[in-house]
Amino acid sequence: MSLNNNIKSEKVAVNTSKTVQNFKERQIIINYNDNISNNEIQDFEINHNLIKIRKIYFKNNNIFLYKVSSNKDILKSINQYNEYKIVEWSEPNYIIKLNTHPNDSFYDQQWGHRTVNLEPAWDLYNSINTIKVAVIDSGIIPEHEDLTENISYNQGKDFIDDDNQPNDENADYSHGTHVSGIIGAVSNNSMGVSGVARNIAIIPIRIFYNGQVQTASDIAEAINYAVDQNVDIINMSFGGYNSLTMHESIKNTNNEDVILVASSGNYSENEVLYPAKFPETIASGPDVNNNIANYSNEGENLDLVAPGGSTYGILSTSGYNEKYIEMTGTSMAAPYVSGVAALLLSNGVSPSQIRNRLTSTAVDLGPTGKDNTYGYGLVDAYGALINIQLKRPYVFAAVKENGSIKIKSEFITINGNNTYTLDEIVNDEVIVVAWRDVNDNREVDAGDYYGEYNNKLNVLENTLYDNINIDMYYIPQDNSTSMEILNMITTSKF
Amino acid sequence: MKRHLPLIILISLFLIFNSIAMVNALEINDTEINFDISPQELNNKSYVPLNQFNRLENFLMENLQDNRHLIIYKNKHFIISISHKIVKSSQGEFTLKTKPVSLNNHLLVPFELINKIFNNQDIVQEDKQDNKLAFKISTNKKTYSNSDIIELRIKIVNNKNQDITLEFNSGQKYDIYIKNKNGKVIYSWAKNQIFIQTFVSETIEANSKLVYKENIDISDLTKGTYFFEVEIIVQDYRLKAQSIQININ
Repeated sequence: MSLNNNIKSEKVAVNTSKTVQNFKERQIIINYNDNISNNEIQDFEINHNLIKIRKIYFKNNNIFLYKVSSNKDILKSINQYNEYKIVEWSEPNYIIKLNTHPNDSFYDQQWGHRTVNLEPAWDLYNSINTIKVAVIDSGIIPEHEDLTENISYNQGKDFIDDDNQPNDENADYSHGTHVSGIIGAVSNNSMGVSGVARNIAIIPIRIFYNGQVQTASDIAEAINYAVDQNVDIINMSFGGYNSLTMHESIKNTNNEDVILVASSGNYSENEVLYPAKFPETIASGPDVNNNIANYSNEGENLDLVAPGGSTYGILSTSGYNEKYIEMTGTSMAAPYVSGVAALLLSNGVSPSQIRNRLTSTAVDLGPTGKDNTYGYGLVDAYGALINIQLKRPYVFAAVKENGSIKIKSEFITINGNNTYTLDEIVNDEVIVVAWRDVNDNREVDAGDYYGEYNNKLNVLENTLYDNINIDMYYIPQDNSTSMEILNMITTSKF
Repeated sequence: MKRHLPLIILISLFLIFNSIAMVNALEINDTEINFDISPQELNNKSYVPLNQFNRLENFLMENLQDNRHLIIYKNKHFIISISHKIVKSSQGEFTLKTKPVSLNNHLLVPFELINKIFNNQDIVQEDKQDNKLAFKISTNKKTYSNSDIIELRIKIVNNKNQDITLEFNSGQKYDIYIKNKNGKVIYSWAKNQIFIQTFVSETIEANSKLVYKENIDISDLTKGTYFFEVEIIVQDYRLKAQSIQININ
């Protein structure tokens, strides 16, 4: 029997619902008319007990974000403010939600996105900042249909040709374009693939020609250049030997709160390559379905694993004619980590917290705790965003009664390899339930994963039932529902 | 018995010339010269058809009277005679160990003469063996000063009649070692390199080749004899590391 975790998010049929507000509590936005003076605005703020959070950046408009008192009804207040002549319009501070299941053409082939739990992360994601990610690589295909919108080409640099046009010479199989697409391909545009991060600006920096860079000083200069561009993250899908010059530039980034992510290496060796090996860098290895890929470099400096591909590669943007291709390697794992780091930063997590947030919430694979093969484990975007290391799901047999679920078997946690064996089933007609209680509130509700094998089993004594697979689905926030679990016994089995 | 000897020799030559079992090739200044010949490796006595060299730039061949032939290559010229070992050239007269011969209107000359006509340092021999990837390395010179840059060519030849795809674990295709005359590695090219960490494949079309070029700075090397060894880092195929000797004066 096995459990398919994180297959895709889908509405779960449940029996209760509640209204969910899709705007920030106690916040409104007011746009004042152009000819209104600052004094008039101040008077209005005082009269209506509005606490100014900040002026929203517009060149010519007077638009402010306010906090209102807790006893005010936001929607009623807005109707009231809109009656005043000095107010052009006002509205709640709406939360912009992303579709958890993007409409990009090849999204379903992006298995790695589900591996790192991106859909629930996108469901919770609330963009605050645009994140700049430097991709130090082979350059970019700047006109790529699924990427161009998210490329900050003018800030790019070409250290091979020594100009400001970092175009990849490999027009169809561009490594840099592939890596960039994993981090930040445009999502929900009905074409191509979906990037891990949202609200992103990719800065391409070209140092590779024909897959290799001549000197470590090129890399050092590229890192220094990226820092000068005020980037938040530097992705380095490459590796090699140590260099003091390269390390010096990496050490300098610490003063600038820049997140550095690098590939562990593809040579099946017992230590990771540089720059991943530097302590300032997050070293990323390749995962394939919760197992390490057989080509991975391992070692005590490995921090995390993320999808790298094996039999099935990682699909992403590539070139002019070959627009989307699969590539395989630790080059692909690093941008997954960079992309998740970008999601966290954009959502307000501070740079100094990123490393710990990623490692402390990773899915622990292999021996318990950090190990040389998986580091801290598989990066989990959802867990990282809510700052919880997700527990393994529960499995039990049950019957549904009046909107509740009554447990009719032992109550177990699934094995590390997503399999289970269930015993002590005490009813002759049951369903089998898999449930990940993400917020640990003992209710099946928004944010949890839930799945049923709902062909009722007529359980006979001393009979073995095999191959009962359960697909679990994420319960999105905007369909918030709950279902009580009865007879739940919390024992050491958790 | 004496009367039959020339006939036996001619029959042997004919068999050699018409043997299709092995296809050998030379490369001279980046131009490949293919010809049919049976020995797996050319030596000074091996016969090669001179007209195959006509495709080289700066190479000219003229028939003269009395079974003589004029060969001009760049600023050098040679006059050879069928069945005579003596060669007159712009560099003086010399004697071959094996006579040039004519067979079916083909002028066959010993490989020794080829080495004289062309700078033998420019000649790269290729062993084309069936069902194998041939892997060769060459340098632009054999003797350098340590202010020179060594131009190293790494060539992988697909002798099959079908495409071959080579899979590499990363952007690294090979490593280049410099060993001293005692065999100790004193330099590894890859140790100074950084590579993208994606699996990379290169397809060599049927009967085609893949050539990589690297310039190696030898300014740190002192005078002496060294060996350049190249190892191809490829999955699925075992290609024996190749070595070439160079001297630094």
